[in-house]
Amino acid sequence: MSQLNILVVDDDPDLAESIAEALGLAGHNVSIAGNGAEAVKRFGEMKYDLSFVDVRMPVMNGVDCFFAVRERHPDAKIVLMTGFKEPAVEKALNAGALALLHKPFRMEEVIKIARQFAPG
Amino acid sequence: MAGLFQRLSVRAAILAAFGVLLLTVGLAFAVVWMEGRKLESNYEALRRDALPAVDALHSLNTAAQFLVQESSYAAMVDLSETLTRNLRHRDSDQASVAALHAQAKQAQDELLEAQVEMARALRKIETLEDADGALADAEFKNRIREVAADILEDSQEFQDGEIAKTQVAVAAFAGHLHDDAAILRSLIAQGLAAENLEIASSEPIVADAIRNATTVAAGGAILALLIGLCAALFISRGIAAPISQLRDSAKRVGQGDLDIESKVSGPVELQELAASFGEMTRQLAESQEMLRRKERLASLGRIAATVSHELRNPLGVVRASIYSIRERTLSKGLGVERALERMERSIDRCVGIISDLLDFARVKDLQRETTAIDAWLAEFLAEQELPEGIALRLNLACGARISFDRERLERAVGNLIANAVQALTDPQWIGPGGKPREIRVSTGIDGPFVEISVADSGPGIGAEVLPKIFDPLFTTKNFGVGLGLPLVRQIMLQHRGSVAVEKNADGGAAFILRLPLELAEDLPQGKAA
Repeated sequence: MSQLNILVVDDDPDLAESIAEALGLAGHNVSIAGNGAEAVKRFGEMKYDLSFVDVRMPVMNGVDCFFAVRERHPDAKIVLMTGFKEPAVEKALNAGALALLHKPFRMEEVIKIARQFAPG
Repeated sequence: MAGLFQRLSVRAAILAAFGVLLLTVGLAFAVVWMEGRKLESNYEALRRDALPAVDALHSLNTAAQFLVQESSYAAMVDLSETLTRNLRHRDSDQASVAALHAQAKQAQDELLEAQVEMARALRKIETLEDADGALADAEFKNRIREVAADILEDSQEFQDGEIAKTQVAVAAFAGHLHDDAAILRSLIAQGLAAENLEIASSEPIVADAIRNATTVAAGGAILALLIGLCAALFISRGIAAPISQLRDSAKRVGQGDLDIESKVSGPVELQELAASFGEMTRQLAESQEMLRRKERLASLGRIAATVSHELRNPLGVVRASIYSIRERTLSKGLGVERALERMERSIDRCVGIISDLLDFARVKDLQRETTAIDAWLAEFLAEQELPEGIALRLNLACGARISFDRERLERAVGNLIANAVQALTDPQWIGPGGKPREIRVSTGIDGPFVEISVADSGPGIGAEVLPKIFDPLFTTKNFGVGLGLPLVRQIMLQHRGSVAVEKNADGGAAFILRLPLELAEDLPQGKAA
């Protein structure tokens, strides 16, 4: 299994860190961003193979972040995470978001998705 | 009196008062009229009996005196003429003889007239029909008639010239007449006295009648006064008091006190008014309670939504961290595996509680789909993983297709299955005693309903717990928030159905879900009411 560059975006630093740790243990190279705007900035700095983006965040929410990133990087692979049922998420899913994870999800699901997109 | 008011209606009371008044006045009129009739008949009797007798006696008396007077006078004049004629050749006063003759002639005429009158008076006495006066006595009447007839006879004797025209004979004749007249007068006086007695005897009757009429009139007036007083008492106590009682109640309701005593004592109409007022207040209290319950649920929903979101992140952190710990400790033999499993189970329970709370507090619109009940239920139950040793027996035979929210109904049936499993695996239960631990699910049609029954062979539900099992937040379990059965009921009510609990033949619990058949597929689908 090859290593992926993964960005985890969540305004809850503990959650972002714990997801990053689990993915790191699976052998991936993981970065963290605290909101959508920061994520967009990170996407400008380097290329990510996969990203997990929380929907409700300050400054820029996950759905806006998804569209902002896709505008510049149409092939960006983004998975959304949320604890709510939000209609805006549907738009993102229709526009090509990979999946929606309902909090509190199991890490096995996250690892499984990462495995699906690991090239080779 | 007060007790009577409580049974009486205002209309009946007023009608009764008027009725009694009318009766009193009518009775008084009747008594006075009867007394009047009595007086009238009494007068009639007097007129018929006593008065004609008095009249006849008076007439006879007058006629007799007149006759005696005329007879004496005629005899005297006749004697004078005779004496004067005998003296003619001596004194030869032709003129005075002629005058005396004319005088005698006139006296004769008047005597005849008196005789006719006497005869008429006598006939009057004879024809008199006196029922109970003095003249009712035949002997007395005869004596009067005899004396009167004697006078008349004597007077006729004189006229017929049977009396000698001498001074002595005339004097004897006049004396005899006067004697007879005196006898007759005394007899008539006796008769009159008797008749007057009869007239006097009617006086007490008249007085009695007047007294009776007066008494009745006065009694009627007093009775009318009493009735008026009763009516006033009735109006003041029977109507005014309950009205002010009602006014006080209305004031208290206005101030928000809905726990009022709505019963008043008083006439029927006011009691009914009070009952309606009480019913209105009760409905008001009920709708206020419903509103409060809705508000409670709404605020519970807001709290649940906030809390559940706030909990989802930390729970996610714990889950992710458990994963990392497991990854790091794997194959190192640190013995933390059971602890990690406990933590995961606890997180699962927390997630379950959160979704129960959200489900119960946020009533979602139904997403109806027309579905064959039996096939859907068989498929759903096949997905359920039951603990070892618990058998699931199905008897799905209702054959109905109705429109309902599958996800919500799966939740309802799922909650019942979970409860049954918990009952059958309760560590405090001694077990079925040789009988199998089983859950029986069946479907059927009962009148206008499709029934889904979920029964277990467990210990059943205690009688002291039974009334509360559908109350939110009531639970007998060591864990759980007590929203499982309330949610089942909420889902069924949303479908315009119901849920009921019974005791099985084997002592276990049986829950019966009822869905109206009117949810059948030919009905328009859409949001629940």
